[in-house]
Amino acid sequence: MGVDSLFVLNNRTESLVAVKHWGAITSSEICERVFEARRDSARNGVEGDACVADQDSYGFHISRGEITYAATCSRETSPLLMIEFLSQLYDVLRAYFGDSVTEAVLQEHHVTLYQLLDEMVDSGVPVNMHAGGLKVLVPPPNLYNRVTSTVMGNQGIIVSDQDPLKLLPLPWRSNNIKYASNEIYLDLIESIDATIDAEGKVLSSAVYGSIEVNSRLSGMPDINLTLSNSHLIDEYNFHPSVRLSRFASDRVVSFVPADGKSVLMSYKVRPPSSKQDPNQWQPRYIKANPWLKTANSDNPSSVPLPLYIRPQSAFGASHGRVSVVVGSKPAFEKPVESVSLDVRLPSRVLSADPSATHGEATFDVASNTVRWSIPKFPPDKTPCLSVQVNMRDEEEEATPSAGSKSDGASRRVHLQEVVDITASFKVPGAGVSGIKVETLQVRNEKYKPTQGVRYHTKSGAVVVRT
Amino acid sequence: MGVPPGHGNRQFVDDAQIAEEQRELDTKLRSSSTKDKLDALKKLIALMAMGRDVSVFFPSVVVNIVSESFEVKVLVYMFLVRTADQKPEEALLSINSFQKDLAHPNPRVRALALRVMSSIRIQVIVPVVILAARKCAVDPSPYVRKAAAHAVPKIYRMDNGRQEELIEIIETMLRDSTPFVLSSAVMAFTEVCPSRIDLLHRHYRKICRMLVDMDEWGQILLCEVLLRYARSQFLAPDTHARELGAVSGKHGEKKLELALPSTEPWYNEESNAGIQSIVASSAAFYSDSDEEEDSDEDSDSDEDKAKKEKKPGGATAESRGPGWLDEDHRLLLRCTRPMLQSQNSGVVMAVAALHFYLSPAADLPKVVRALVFAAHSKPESQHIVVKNICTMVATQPLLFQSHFNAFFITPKDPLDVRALKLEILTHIVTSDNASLLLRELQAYLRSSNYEFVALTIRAIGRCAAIMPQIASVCIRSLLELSLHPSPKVASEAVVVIRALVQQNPKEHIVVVMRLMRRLDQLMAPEARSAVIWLAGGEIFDGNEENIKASDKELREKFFELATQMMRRVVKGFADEHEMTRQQIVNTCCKMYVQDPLRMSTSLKYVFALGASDPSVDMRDRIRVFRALFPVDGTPSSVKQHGDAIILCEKPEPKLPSPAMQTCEHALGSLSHFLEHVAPGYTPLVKHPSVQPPTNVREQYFSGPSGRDGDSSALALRNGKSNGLGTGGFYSSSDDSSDSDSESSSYTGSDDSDNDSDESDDDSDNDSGESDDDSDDSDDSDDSD
Repeated sequence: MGVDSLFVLNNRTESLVAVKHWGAITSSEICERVFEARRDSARNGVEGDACVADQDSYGFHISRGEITYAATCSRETSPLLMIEFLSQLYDVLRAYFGDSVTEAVLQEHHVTLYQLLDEMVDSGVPVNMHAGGLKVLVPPPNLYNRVTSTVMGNQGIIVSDQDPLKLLPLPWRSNNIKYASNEIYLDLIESIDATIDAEGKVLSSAVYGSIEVNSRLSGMPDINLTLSNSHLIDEYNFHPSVRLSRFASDRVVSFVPADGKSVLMSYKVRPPSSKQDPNQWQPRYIKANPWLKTANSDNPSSVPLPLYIRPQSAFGASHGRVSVVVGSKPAFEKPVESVSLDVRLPSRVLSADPSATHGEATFDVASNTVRWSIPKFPPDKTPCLSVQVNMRDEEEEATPSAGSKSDGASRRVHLQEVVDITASFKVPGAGVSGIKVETLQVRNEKYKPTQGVRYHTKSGAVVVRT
Repeated sequence: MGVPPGHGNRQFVDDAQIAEEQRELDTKLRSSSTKDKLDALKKLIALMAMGRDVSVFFPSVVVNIVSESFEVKVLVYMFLVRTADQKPEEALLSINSFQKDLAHPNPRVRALALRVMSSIRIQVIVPVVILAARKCAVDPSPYVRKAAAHAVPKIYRMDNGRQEELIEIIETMLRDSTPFVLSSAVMAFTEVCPSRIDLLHRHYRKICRMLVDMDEWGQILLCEVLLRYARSQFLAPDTHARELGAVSGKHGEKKLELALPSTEPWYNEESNAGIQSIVASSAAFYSDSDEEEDSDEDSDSDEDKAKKEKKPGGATAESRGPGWLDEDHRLLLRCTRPMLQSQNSGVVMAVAALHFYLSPAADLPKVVRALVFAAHSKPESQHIVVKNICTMVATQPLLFQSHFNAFFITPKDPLDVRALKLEILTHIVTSDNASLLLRELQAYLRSSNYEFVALTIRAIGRCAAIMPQIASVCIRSLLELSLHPSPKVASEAVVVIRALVQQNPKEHIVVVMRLMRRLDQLMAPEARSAVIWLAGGEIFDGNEENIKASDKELREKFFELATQMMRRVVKGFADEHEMTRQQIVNTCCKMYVQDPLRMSTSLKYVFALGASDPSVDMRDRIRVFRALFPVDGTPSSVKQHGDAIILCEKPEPKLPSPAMQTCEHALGSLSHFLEHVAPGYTPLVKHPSVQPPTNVREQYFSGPSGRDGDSSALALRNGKSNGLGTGGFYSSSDDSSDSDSESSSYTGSDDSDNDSDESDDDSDNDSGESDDDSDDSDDSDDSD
């Protein structure tokens, strides 16, 4: 039951960064399996293959940046517990060491890492994985600690010696938090999943959103958050700090925030049904424009994408050409930023030579993908990518064994080979669903905090079919 | 891995360096300066992290345990926890200092000391450790009590002869009313004595109410325990099938089609009475829990609405019908339902599994919605959740029909996930969205991942088999694919075509003839043998009387073509795969029956070749067939049976699902995911057929009603006034009673077993209060 061992691995150099065993020592052979699985996934351009098995243990792994976290268990344990443990471990490490958790960073803070693991997990079962709470028990390596350790000659505080439960009335928040200026910022991030055909018609789409809180408030504030257009929320989940019944009864998100950053809630936006008022889908701050109207009348359940992608491809026996044109639609008041396209070429492509009128395009041999990134759209030109490819001639290669069959082979259907294009983009400053933060009240404390809300739209899985 | 491998001279240098390092560390550890000690300890921990063996430092580290510096102590313990089981003898020597630390004023030190002691794996000290665990189990600090709960399974693993004593400790700890501790206590229970379900009876209601307040990890574990408890203590919620194993044979278990209408007006169904009682029970279910009702008010699916409209009619049915649930059974369902909104997909999965097995069918759509949403949370958990959904779909396809779009495949999905999603899609497709699915599948066919294309072909075949009206469209598109460059794809296409043709042979004779012309281009043995089978002419039905002239003509053309094809095939008989060879023999025999003149030479030839076939099975077959079809004129007594045997009635082929068979292990478990029994897995027990006594759970609640939870509406109790109880913070009012008792434990009072009973008596009164001001209770609580 529970996690036996944790391996922290560097997936670039395929080496071990740190290891921790809670039960018996698990052989590190499992790491090889993890690396194998990772290489496989990279080759096929897929993600989410998370389980490997070795002789007597099962390994679950997730990769974030250059680090792969692998946890093993040898007995019946909920597999999702393992996955969630790893992903929350990553969240904690990010809260401690900053957004880029690298091997160098982890090497530098081995003691903190170990201390954290000891606090987070007892005999293989995760206990408290809230960065906000752990910070009280294991002080993060911050500037202050480093300065004192160099100036005062001592090692800084490694661990606080107080009763953990006096300090931590809530697992995610201690009761001695003090800030000179009290601030709370919300980021409402919505992501669009869409499948588009080559003509630009949206085949299927969905909008998911999440609210991220960055809380820098003293004491024990109790926050009530109301959302406008909350009827659009279809399915949702909450941070443990949110009182579920309160939201269920009057749609008020009531919570005592975790200190620092946390994801308060995630939701799925209800797709408008064709029967409903079509205007519901067009919030006022999205400009009403001709494109939006036609899009909506065509397919009521599609979402407005801020850009269009027109791919074209032609493959011959040994050569081929792919060209992609990308342009932004004036659907949003805000400009589209950091657009990047992954163009996955057919498997018989040997080499590719991409060239782009704007941005940068590179070909990655391992995954057979051309990655084209356009940090900023040019004001009046349409960026265009063209890729010349050399291909393996399969018809010659697959010479039939018997000579009599050769004319059969030539009659084989000519397959129309496709390129998979996945797009990613960001639109800072605008939301897509119309769900907004209406009010945010802080109670239980006397101060008036500085508040701020930002809206973002980004791509989820945007797939273009050719 | 771990220790970097050295080569030749470097190894030597490394060794020398390591020895040097060791000496340095050793002196530092034994120095009197705290700073030096800390330095050395940190270095040791860094070495440990790299997987290096640091047990040589054990003696010099262990002397520091008496250090006054808290930091040194913590680091020493960190070191000891890791190495204690490697150096048990040395650890034994310092056992006195551990024991001394068990009385340390700081709870963290006490917890650490216990943690180290339970990590030393020597039988001799087991009694000492048990003593320590027993002491810590009633420690004023919940932090220490939790450590004690974690120590119990460790002791059990070391010496399982001491089960009795450990069960005593667990019994004590189960009385604890801090959710934080209780979850670990239940975990110890599952490891040490999972079969002693009687221990849980008294605490069942308390555990249910505390669930919301536990950490997410405890929730996952407890949902599993409570599911097993409920399976042994409560009757099945209704007669709908829940387990895959149960679906096949047993009648009486039905699919949800009856309860959740899709297209047909379901109230016309014959088994009306049963449904009404289900609806009635679910109506009653809602009425005593307002809060849940609210949560769904504006997100109700159509089914729910239909159900509500039906309520007045259904409610008149007697409430103790087949849908009747025990109060405690409902309590569990009610207490777990809010957890479907957890951010932790593991919790959602555990709750969903619990509800899938335990809640009435009418309540499942909500659960399914949460589960489908959880599948989206991160790519790593998607695989596991989808796998579980796949099993649920196989038993109850209708539940997932409204989530059709959620299972479309994205290019990032690994092959396993794609297979599962295709499986789900083919299960939940209806005539309404069949065209949508086909369009989607058509797009998948163009993928450059041929394995995926093969899976998609199978999925198309399954759709066409379910809905014959789209079969001809499917066959046409598959026919093109039979010339696909990948033999795997091509053969899959032919195999699926064969299966579809067989379902409705008359319409597809032309297709078969085209396939037969193409035989030379088909490489894969599966595809070749499928076509050869089709040539056998079995797709025509036997009665010859009412055949139209045009059909007859077609038929003759067909046989002409088949004979030509067979002649060519027979020529290359020796080069064929065994599978194909067998099919050639079969088909030759079949055609011989129809036209003995033309086929006798071919058949003779095949018999001659087959008699010296490398395969034993093949040679045996030839021997039998020779007797049945005596082409060379040898007398045979079984000749007249030949036709009947070779042309016997054959069932329509089922298109088996390409995805692995969904497995019967408990949903959400590792075994389910891996499809084999992982160590430590126990299968779910069947619901009892007779309700076991329900009063066993009463003992704990001495109050007259014993069911305070049911009557109280939501009231968030914020135990701020007395030391901010973690526990009751976010629970709704039925938990508030517990939160009171637990905040007293936070203030440090020695919360032993006797106390907890009293505090629960209090809690009954409390809940009465909270009823009065239930509406604005959270406001008032916050203000004071």
